[in-house]
Amino acid sequence: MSQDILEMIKKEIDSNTICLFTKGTADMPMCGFSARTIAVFKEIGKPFKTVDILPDPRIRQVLSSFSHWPTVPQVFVGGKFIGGCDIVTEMYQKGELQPLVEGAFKKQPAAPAR
Amino acid sequence: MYREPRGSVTRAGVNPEEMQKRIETAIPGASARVEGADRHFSAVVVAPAFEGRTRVEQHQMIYALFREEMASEEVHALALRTCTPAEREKETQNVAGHP
Repeated sequence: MSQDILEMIKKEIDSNTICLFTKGTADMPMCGFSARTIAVFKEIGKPFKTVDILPDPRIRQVLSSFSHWPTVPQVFVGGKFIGGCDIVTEMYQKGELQPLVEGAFKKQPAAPAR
Repeated sequence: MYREPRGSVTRAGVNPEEMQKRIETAIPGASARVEGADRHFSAVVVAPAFEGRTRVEQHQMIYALFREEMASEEVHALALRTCTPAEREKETQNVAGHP
């Protein structure tokens, strides 16, 4: 059961250069922290996938034990966990996020858009 | 690791003072400022123990101290800013140098 969810999580992370696990969707975030994180990636302007964790409470549980991170949103770039809302916002403000994203897209040019 | 919320246990909600004390006790040399109420908190933590660790690892150190409260949603949000004393020094200088 939760094995399926773990597989789904890994698949989303692996097949999307930018993958965000959020409360709600990119068009309708259901939490201020998710909304702020989505806004950062809209600013950056590269395609990103959002996975809404709200429909099934097990997603959050499995995700948190997978990433060792208790809160949502969670951001993965190029298959690597880079942090939550605070870290992503700080990296964006310091100009560190853009080069990281650029680099990830150069490595994985074939990743599909949402 | 994730733990199931302890639904049957009722306890007084954590408060910023208690959270500050817990951070400063657990992380040697840390100085913390915690604000917030009603399950939403924010903390600024300066600690030499953060030296050589990534931002993710620094935040994981703090989250680990509130694992139960976060799993049970007693703490719904804990916004974090972490830095080493050296980084704090640099920030202070930048602010001071600003006209």
